[in-house]
Amino acid sequence: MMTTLYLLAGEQPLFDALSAKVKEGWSVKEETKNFTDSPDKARTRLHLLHLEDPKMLQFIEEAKKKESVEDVAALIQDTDLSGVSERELAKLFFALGPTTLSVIIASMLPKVKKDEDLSQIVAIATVRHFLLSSLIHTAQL
Amino acid sequence: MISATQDFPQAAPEGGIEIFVPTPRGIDAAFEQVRVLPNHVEFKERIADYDRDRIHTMLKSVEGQHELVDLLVSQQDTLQEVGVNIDPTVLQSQIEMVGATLEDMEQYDELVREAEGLAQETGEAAKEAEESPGMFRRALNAVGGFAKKHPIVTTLLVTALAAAGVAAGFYFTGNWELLMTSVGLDKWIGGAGAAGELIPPTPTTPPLPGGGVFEIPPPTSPPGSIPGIDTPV
Repeated sequence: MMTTLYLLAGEQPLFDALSAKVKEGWSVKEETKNFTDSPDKARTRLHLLHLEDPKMLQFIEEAKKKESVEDVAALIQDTDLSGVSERELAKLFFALGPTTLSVIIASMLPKVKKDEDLSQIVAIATVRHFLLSSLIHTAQL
Repeated sequence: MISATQDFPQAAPEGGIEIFVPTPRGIDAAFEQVRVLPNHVEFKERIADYDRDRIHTMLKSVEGQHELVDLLVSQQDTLQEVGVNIDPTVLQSQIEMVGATLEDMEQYDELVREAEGLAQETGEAAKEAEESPGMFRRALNAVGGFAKKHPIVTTLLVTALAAAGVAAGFYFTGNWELLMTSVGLDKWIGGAGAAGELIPPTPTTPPLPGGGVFEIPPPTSPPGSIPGIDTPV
């Protein structure tokens, strides 16, 4: 079980504010890698997304047939990711980028009530940590 | 109209022109369309040896990037015949961005492959894998387990899929913020505008009467900043 949270400096107060009971057994390391995202960077990642999972490709085909925002929204909300491989999920996380994961983490941290909640955040923060480790070239743009 | 996301052929945006994004697939698909044109012999000879792998490699080197910019700009009229709208004012920066993102993707893919290679690792070996692909593998496994059920994470991932697959030059470009609100992401990401910047569709540029896309300033990001997007994460 992973027990180390890689948190940005701005996220650490959110963890500190949790009850001592919830924090027990967890440790925090500061996430020191920086990445400034931008719409152009995000758009390029999305353009380069190459998926192979039949379920995801089917989603695309269905979405293209929809004729209104409401219909596309309903399709998104009706779609789950069960059966989609971790490899394909990993690609989607790359396309989303670390900033979106930071938003998720900042939203989830104040709502933590039990260990299971923290273990979810640890997982997302760890994926972000590896994303940040990979985004070396675009970080310089 | 050619899109860079060639896995998902896209509909032309009604009343708008999609600016080409020079990805390996996009450039390769554009060249494929040029090859079936009845003329343009010189251009076709010049791109005879360009396949997707070569384009991919070129995009990652400074020399290759310059060569591609020169080629695409010099042939922009021909490319426009097959629906590929090059914006010369931003092409160099687009190509640099694509090249850098390809490099980063390869680094990331390597981590994912290493993590998959450790999929059978258990017990003490896994425990010792701190700061290693083993940690990444366990994180992916955990995220995969709950992301499939977590409503916001799932919505984010599926919306990214929609942005990549159908939003470019799509009918709901311009309605993207409404979509973000409809799926509830605006509440999580600090407004529909912020959500749209984190998961942006490709902007379209409306055609001018009697004019082409090159007479129109390139699309720019909205002024101002939003938390997290213009500041380091």
